[in-house]
Amino acid sequence: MSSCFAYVRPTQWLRLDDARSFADSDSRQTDQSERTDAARLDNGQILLQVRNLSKSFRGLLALQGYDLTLRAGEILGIIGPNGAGKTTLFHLLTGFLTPTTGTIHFRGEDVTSAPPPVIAEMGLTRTFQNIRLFDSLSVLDNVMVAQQLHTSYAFWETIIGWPTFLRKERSVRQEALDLLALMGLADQARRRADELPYGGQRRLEIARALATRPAVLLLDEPAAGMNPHESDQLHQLILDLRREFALTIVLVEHDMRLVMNLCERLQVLNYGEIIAEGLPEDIRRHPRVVESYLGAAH
Amino acid sequence: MDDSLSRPVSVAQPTTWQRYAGVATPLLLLLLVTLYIQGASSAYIQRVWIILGLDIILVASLNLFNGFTGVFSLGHVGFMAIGAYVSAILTLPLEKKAINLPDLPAWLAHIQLGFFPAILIGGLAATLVALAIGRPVLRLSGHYVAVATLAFLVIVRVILINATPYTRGSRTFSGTPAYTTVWWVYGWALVTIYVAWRVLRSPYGRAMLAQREDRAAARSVGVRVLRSRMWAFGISAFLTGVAGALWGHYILSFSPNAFYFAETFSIITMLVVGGMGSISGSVIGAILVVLLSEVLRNLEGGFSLGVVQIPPLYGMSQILMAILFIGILIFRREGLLGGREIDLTKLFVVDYWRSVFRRKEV
Repeated sequence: MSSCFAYVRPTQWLRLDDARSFADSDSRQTDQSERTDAARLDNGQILLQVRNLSKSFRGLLALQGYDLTLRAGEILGIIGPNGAGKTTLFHLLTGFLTPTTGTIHFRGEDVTSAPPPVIAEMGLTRTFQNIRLFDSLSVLDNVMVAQQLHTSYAFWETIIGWPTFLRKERSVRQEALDLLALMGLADQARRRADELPYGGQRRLEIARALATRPAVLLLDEPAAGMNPHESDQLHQLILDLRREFALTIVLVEHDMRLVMNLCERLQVLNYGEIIAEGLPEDIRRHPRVVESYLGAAH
Repeated sequence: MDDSLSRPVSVAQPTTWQRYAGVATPLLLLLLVTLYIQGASSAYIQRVWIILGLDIILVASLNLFNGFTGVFSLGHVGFMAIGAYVSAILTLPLEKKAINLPDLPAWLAHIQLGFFPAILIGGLAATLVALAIGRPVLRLSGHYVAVATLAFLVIVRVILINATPYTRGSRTFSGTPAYTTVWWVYGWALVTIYVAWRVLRSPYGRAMLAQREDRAAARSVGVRVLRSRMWAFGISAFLTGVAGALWGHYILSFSPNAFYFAETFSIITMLVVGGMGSISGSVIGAILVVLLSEVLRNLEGGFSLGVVQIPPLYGMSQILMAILFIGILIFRREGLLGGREIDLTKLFVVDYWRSVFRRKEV
């Protein structure tokens, strides 16, 4: 049985000249998305700066003393046993939780207490560990919802069906279909999202995240439930996405093969603290990491 | 020209002719039926037809909020009341104003507006109130927002009862000019259905559906939940207010009691029977409930089944409607249409009906 994770390599469908990933005169770019595009040009620029981040839930310390300096273009992996605080970290970074202490700066702006929609608009998007799609909406609609960040609609032109509105809708739909084609889901566009097989749902979540035109993408266990072949395809996909969309990627994963081969830098969390940080080949030999998480085989 | 909403991957696409015919045919049918009823039917049937039209507006606009956003509002009849009273105060002839509402402030006592401006102002008044209470109320979810909107309904009634100079308090408000005709009602019904359909197929509608499905996921891709709900609330309140204005100028005398629990549950029954989230469901739910309750009400006086004589059982129609409501909740909670729409553009595509009735993918 062929893998459910086939995808189309990005070739010319995205016009990537001028570092603008989506050249489309019909959708008016907001200030935010222009800044996002500009950020992509500066390789090595610090996109995310986290200092002394901690979160306690009524005395239970889920995360403490967490620091991160994330540079444009890198692929960072965050590993650690379950309950180490990795998903809590993602919630904090994307505004679903407010930190107890510490600050988060995304491209120079303080987003410590910003709500999720604001953070998404600024270019930081996440996927969810346990796939959260809009189940009763179509696959296409799932992606089109995410595109609203970067297109503005006046209410009256919507109700009356003014030509400008119809044109915007058409270009948004085309962009969504292009994204789905990239992830191999174009022929499923009209299906309900919950009718997709597991691999398709994972890909849809990534397509939806890409539709928000992020600068930084946080992937929460994207390889969960995948066999080694699918995991290799995911590896290639992430590299392709980084190149084609000028992304920076933070990955939370348990699949060690994927993590060690893909990530340029790793952070290891345990009991809410960073116990090691560095290059994959150093981490896999680090005594504390081996003892608390990896075991001897890696 | 395709719709991006959920439906099975389908090979049977209608031709342009079929598309236009599919939409035009029910409209033509509606026109013919209305003409026939106006010309050849009894006053009773004409009345039922108008009530049906008003209920379609009410249910479709309630569905625009409850169904699309997933937030269950129990207070929409409050907007109906606002629409009715505001428009009625504005259209009341000056002589009657002097007699019935002697304590109106001077600027209101000397105004008399035509029907259309009064309807619009009634609807806008409802929208303004909706936007005012929306910020605190629409942050809530589940049972909390249901109770909060119910509280809104009660508050509206109390204000109406106590604003005696404007509303005659709990006494009957009468003297409204009889402006509402079947054409006004069905004209606005078509407007309501069109607006709901356009909102559904717009970014506004997609955002509403997204935050209904999964609030956290919606926020994570940039949907502002409160703003999305406010849009739905405001539009829905406007249309409900319009329905109230039409109703007030049909029934000609009303009091705050007309806009309370009985009306609320009647509309909600229609919404649930037809299926929340579906515009066609709202229409079908309204038709079914209105016709069924009329039939049952006529049988309340007792009837004979051949040899057996069924005695008068007044009130039985309401009990049976309540049993229907409970039955739907138990056996088909998603409603008759289950939240799906009837695709009018495929009215003349044979394969479409085959797929609907045999539940086969075409």
